[in-house]
Amino acid sequence: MDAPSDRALVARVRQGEVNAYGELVRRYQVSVFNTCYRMLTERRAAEDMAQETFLRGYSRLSQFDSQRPFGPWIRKIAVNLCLNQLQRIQPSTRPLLEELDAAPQSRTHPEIAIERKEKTERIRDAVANLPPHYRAVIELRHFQGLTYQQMSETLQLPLNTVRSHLFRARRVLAAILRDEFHHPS
Amino acid sequence: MSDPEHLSESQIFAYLDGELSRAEGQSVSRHLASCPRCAEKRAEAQALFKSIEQLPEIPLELDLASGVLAEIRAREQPALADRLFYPALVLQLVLALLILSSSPAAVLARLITPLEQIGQYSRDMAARLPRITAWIETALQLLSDELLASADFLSRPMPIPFSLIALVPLVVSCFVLWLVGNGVLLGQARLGRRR
Repeated sequence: MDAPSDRALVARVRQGEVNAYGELVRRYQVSVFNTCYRMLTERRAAEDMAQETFLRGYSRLSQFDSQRPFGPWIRKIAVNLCLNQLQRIQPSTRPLLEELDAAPQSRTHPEIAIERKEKTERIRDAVANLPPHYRAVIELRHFQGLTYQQMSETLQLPLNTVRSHLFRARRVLAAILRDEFHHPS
Repeated sequence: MSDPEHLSESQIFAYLDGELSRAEGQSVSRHLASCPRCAEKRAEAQALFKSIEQLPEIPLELDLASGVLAEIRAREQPALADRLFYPALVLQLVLALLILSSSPAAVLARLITPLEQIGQYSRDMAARLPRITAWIETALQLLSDELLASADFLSRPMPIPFSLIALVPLVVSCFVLWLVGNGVLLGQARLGRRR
């Protein structure tokens, strides 16, 4: 028997079948969690935020256009919730990726990230050190494939601001990762 | 400072993002085909994009669905309370009105009883006065006997004009009014939070 489509599940939730929402959560929890993790860079915080994202999605399900895919919609909610949280705790805290290195180090300086050996760690680190809005546009463009216009609508920012954030974020990442490109492992 | 001979970084980014118009895109493509320097910048940008996008997903070590569903059900509980709120408020009001309407009668009933007892006490006292006079006239010796005979009278408690029992309906009324008031306040607070 074929698994029900996202649209069918959404319709069942709208008819009051809460358990159908559980199936939607199971389908998208990994991608939503990873979105939160890339934004917040802490596993526990990302898990909490992923749960909050699904709760927010449930309460806003009436606004969801079921002709569109559910995944991008719920991940956009995740990005906005993460961005709100990052802005609340700005500017002092930029938590570390607890899974990368047990050694206590300050990661507020890009140079420390450059010293890291693993490519993945280096990229995660570089993204983690971006300001929240830069992180958000990188997430929306490179992991969710949104256009500039869609990013502008999602973040409720002018198109030029989105373009500028994306440009600057990429320049920062390029500067941090330049050594990687010039000396590939 | 931008070099008019070469593409800017933002142009290359926009080109790779597919954000240029068709004419602009064709123009950039032609330039890239003939300019090694810009082609290298494009390659660097592509490498950057690839590095970012190839970041692997990390596993989620728990199932969020059960927690989300539990939280949804918990948050829907207040909806039931909302539905019961106004019937409960009306019920409280009816109870308060019933108790308040019965309270004056109950208080009066409790007040009349002590007044009757005071009248009886006065009549008893009047009935005893001649005998006391006789006691004085006859002999002091009988005084102790009379005192003993009057012991039951002296041991009778003085009637209290306002019985404490009469306060019960008042206390109940106040309590019900307090509940109603709390209900109204909670209702207003709930509406305030929603706003």
